[in-house]
Parts: sequence; structure tokens; C-alpha cells
Amino acid sequence: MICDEVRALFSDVADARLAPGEKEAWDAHLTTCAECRDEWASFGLTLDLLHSLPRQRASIGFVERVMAAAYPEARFRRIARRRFVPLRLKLPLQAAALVLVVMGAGYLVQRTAELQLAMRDVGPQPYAPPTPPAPGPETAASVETATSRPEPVAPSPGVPKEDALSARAKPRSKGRTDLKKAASETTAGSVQTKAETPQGDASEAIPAPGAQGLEAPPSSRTIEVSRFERELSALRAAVEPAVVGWLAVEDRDTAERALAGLVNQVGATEFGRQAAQVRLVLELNIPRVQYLGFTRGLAGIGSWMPRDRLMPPSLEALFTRIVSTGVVSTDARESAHDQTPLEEPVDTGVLMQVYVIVRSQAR
Amino acid sequence: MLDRLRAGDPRAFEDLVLAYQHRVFAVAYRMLGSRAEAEEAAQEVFLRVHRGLAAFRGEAKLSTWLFAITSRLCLSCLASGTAQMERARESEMALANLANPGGGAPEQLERLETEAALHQAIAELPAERRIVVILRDLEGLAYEEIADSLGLTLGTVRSRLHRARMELKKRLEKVLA
Repeated sequence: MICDEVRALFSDVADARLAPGEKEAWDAHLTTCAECRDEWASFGLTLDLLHSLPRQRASIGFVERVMAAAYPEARFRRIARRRFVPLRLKLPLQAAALVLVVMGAGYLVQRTAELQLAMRDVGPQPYAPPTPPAPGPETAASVETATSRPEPVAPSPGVPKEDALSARAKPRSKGRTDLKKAASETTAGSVQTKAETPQGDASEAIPAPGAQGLEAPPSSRTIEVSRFERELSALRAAVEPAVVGWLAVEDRDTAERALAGLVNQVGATEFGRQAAQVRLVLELNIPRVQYLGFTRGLAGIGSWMPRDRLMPPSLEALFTRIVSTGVVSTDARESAHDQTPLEEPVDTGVLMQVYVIVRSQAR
Repeated sequence: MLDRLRAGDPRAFEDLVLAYQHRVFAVAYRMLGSRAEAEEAAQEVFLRVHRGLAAFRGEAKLSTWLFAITSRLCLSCLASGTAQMERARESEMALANLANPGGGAPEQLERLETEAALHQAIAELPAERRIVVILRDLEGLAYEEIADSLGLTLGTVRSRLHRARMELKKRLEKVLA
């Protein structure tokens, strides 16, 4: 083995990768060659220096940075959990958030008409007779309120136009007010009837359908009220109209006949009818599932404008809308254009105010 | 651990980083010559491992796979020349430190001088030899592991390692003479 061969095997000898036979030949050469021994010593020193080099270390926080890069969301959650939202704060915050969500849901249900309508279930309920009001000034006031009710009747010449207009432009809650007024009327009638029939029971206080003003109902009704009428009365007292709208038609008689047919077709129940000179106030109870078909039928009879969808800012706007359908007279249209209070449209059109109560259970 | 890593367990991955952070960084530092470049490269190595864990078949050792990624990344980085400017700047700083050691025992100064010379000698090796000597003499990998990591034959590894050592010996003899 010559020197170059021996020196070429330095690494193999250092890493103990020589075969036993090669190692013996390599050792034999090294014992006889001083230059190769010096080279081998220098080679060994180089390896010792290499092996003694201090290990370079990654800086502090290297693992954190790698983990943050590999799991950005987990890193954010970990920081938030450990630093910003400790357990003693997290639990009360979560509880408060839960309470807020529940309160918000309740508020939404109360404030949203559609949700309120969906949750309302006015199916057959046990009848609870209204408490007869104590006689006194309050009853007298109720009677007076009832007699001054402008809605169902045509405005008399003595009533100012503004009153008549404002009575028709009442907001949606007017329906409840009307029912309350009706209840007051009926109560007043019941008081009067009670004096005539001393043997009357609690059912005497039940308003009869279509009861108006101070006119007392027949005594037979005050004594024996049918179950159907009692349910209707309870319904009127308890439920405001779900939908109140106007139906503008060309011919009143034709429209009434068509409306009667539509009421039968959709299985609705008419529980109130107040006919005036040019208007017909009709109160209907319609199964909820039939309401869509009912409105389609109304569209075939005349121009149907549910107030909860139209929501006119003023009565003039409402009449302007009707004028645009060509129902009322030219004079009324010009009046509407001039923004002056409108006369009742008596020339060519008839307005029918239809109260509709949408029930969740078919009758 | 491999099963936990494949399952995406963050704790297992954190354990892996903890176990290999210094070794991966040391290889990157010796190859690139700059701490900043080495940290960036080491972080990239672990991110590549994290992304490739699902595809890792486990035929090689996990450490071999790690050093393979590290080696290829460093060689690629050197080939693009991104680390050269920073490496030169840090070499100048190391030489300046040697020139102004700020006191200390003569033995300590001599050791620092030798370390700097060796560091410089390693840095001046060709990259393909440097990575072999780093993996073998600084990280202690077997010839077979080096061959697997770099995709070389055993003979090539043996040859490159011996030439690298002989070059280092030659350079150190000039410094230490």
C-alpha cells in the first residue's frame, strides 16, 4: 500500500469502515511512513476540532414562531385564552351573552309582526266571560266613546272632515281599539239588558255579533248565546285584526256577491258586517292556510290594498293610490292632487273596508 | 409519535419541533452562515414537514426526512445567492470580534481563533461537500442516512466527505501553523 492509498483511506479509518484486511495493511504502512503518520495526526486533529465545535442553537421563541405559523388559529385561541380571556372572565361573559341572546330573541318575537302572527294560536279556547264593569262614570264614558265611534258609519254632516279622515287613517292598532270599543258598546248594552233581565247570568255580558251602539240585543240572545257566537265574541275581544285592508270596487252589489262566494270558497267566517252609505265594513275570520287564496280572490274582485303592506303615511296618500286605479271620481282625484281633505268617493266607486283575521285553525 | 403527527396532533408537532429545532438550525447555520437566514430556513423546514406529514410514508427515519428537507432547502438557498450577502457580513463581524476580543485568557482566545478559522474553512467549502461534512461530523449522521438525505450513493458520500475533510485539514494547517 503506497502513501496516496493510505491517505485516501483516512476517513474510512476514522469512521471504522475499513475491512479487517485493509486495516492491517493500512496500519503496517503507517508504522513505517513518518509523513503519513504526521498527515494522519493532522487529519485526526481536524476531526477533533470539527467534533468539538459548539452546537449552534436556535433562538428563544423559535418553537412558538413555528407553531404560530403552522397553526395560526390555534395560536390566536391560545393567546386569547391565556392572556385576554381567563376563565374567571370567560364564564360570566358567556353567561351574559346567553342572556342577551335570549332577551334579543324575545324582543324580536314581540316586535316582529310576522313572528307574532306565527306564534299566535287562537284556536278554540275555554270561554272566559268578561268582567262586567262597575256602573259609574267609567261606564258612561265607555258609552260615550261607543256612540262617537266614526269607523263603521258614514261620516255625518256634523262630523268634521278631519275626524272622519283620521278615523279611517288609524294605524294598525286601530283594530284592537275598535274591538275594545265594541266591547265597551256591548258592555253598555249588557248593562242595559241586565236591568231588563234580572235573572241574567255571566253570558249576558257577551257581545252579540254586529252589535252596534247602545242598541240592546234581543233578549233571547242575552239569555241563550250559541257556542259559536260565544267563540266569535271571545275572538273579537281577544284578537286584533291580523290584516286590515281596503277593497276598492266598481260595483258594490257585484262585489258583495263575489265576496260572499269567496268567503264560502276559502272556508272563512263572517262575524261582523256594518253597512254604510258608501262603505261596507266586513269582518272575516279566515283559516291561515287559505289566506293566500283569499287575497288572490280579492284581487279578482277589486283593488285590494292590505294596510299592513301599503302603510300609507297619510290618508291623502291612500286616496291617491286609489285614484290611480281609476276608482273614484275625477273630482276626488283633483282634490287629492291639491292635497286638500277628500270628500267621500260617492260618484263612481265604492270602498269596502274589509277586516280580516287570520286564524291558525280552520273553523 | 408518527401516528400522532399524521393525525394532525399539534402537541406531537410541537414535540417534533422541540426535539429537532437546534439540529435543523445548526445545519442551516453552518450551510448558510447567517443566523437570520438559518432561522428563516429552519422555520420553513418545519412548515414543509407540517404540510408533508400526510404524505410521509415512514419508509425512512423521521430525522433523515428532516435533514433531507433541510439540506435541499439550504442548497437551493445557496444556489439562488440569497444568503451570500448576509453570510459575508456575519463573517466580517466574526473576524472583527477576533481582532478585538475584549480581554480573556490566552487559551480562550486561541480557542476562539481556532473556531473562527474552522467556521471560515467550512464556509469556504463547496456546498455539496460542506453539507456532507456537516451532516457527518457535526450532526453525526451515518453514511447511509446522508446518502438517503441527499439522494447520493454511498460511494459519492464517502468521496465527498473525505475530500471535504482533507480540504479542512489543509486550511486549518495554514491557520494553525
